[in-house]
Amino acid sequence: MDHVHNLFNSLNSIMNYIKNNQPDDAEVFLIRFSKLMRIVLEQSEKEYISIGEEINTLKNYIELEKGRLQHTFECNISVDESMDIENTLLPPLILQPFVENSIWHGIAHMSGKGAIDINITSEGQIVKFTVKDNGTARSFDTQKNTISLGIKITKERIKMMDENNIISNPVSVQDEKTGYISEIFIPLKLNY
Amino acid sequence: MITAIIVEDEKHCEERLVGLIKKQFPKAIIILGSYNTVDEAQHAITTLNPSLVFLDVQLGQLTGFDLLERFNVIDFKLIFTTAYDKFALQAIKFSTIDYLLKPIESSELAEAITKVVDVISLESMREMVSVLGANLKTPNDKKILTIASGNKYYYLPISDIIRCQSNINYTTIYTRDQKKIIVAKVLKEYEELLADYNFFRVHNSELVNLTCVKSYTKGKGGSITLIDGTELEVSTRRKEDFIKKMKTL
Repeated sequence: MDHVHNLFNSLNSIMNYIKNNQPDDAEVFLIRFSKLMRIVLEQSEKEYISIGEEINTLKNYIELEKGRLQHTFECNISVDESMDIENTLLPPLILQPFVENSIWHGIAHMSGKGAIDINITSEGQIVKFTVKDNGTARSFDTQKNTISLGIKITKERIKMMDENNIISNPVSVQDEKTGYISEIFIPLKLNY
Repeated sequence: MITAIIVEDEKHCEERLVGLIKKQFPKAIIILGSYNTVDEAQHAITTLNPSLVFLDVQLGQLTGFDLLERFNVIDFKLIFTTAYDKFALQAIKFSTIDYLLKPIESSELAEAITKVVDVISLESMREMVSVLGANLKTPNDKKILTIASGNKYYYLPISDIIRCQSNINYTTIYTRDQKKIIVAKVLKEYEELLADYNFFRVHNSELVNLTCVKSYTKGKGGSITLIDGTELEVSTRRKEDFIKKMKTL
């Protein structure tokens, strides 16, 4: 769902590059876009992917969006040292809607240097993902529908993997004046 | 100086490839022509004798593999190009012939060309094509895997592989005739490649050919003994899937 709307927005960006006579920029964008498409296609067929793979997809996605946004921004992804990111599993593309939200509803409207911080930690049997931006978060009300739908779907996906019901509230998104803070909790699931 | 032909049935893809080659290798590679059917390509190869062929996998109703079938012995090296074809890609990966995903990225093209020209011999290329052709015809357990180790290539029937062991960025392959082959690939790559061929990752560092499991001892995860006497633990989390998979054999 999110990916479809992303697809058409990206096609729009490509059209703009062409119309504005920026064929080299269009080329770079298209190659990145194709790579992301392939990754998304492959991963969405799987029930789970590793955190390492999710981070890789996010990096690709963020590079692409940097090309689309008028002004650049920084993105830092940090993982707790003790975590085994190749063996810890999560449903594919679960973080993308929150990163997208921070980019387009947070960073896009600010002046000054934008920054998104993604932090991954675990405590006991729970893994926590935090997506934070320093943008001027638009009030929840104006974006209510898109964000709420994203949250709802993510909650359902996490509920499906939470067989032992250890997580009461898997997703929360707060819109502070100084940016969004999205928190996503999943049960710790290891491959081996 | 290398003579090359392009076999591609989509005009825009052909233009991109020609453009990239001319830009990056203006003197080193001479493009003799572009052909969009298997028949035309076969004729061009026979009459022009190119040393390098860029071969699209999908060619109308036929495939790049159909073109290769028409030659008893090939006198050219090749690089595959493809938009998206899981089946073809798996066959190509088994042979280790290089491939480029469309739209082609210029740095990947340069890498593939340099590798095929400088590193791979015509003899090795012939073996790889032979493996590819054989695999497309044989049933699953008789498929052959091309393995690059150091300067050598091994062509192993997958039924000869007992297990693959992870060593950080390398994989050690153990065979029935007691060979140990070290490959610069991570275990995950082999796990994905051999998933449909009765190979199962019993724990983080071991991918086992289930047809080589002699016995299983129960336990938290349990342990298995292989036909060469190796004993391996099965990770607790993999136990259920392991038992399921063994039942299907």
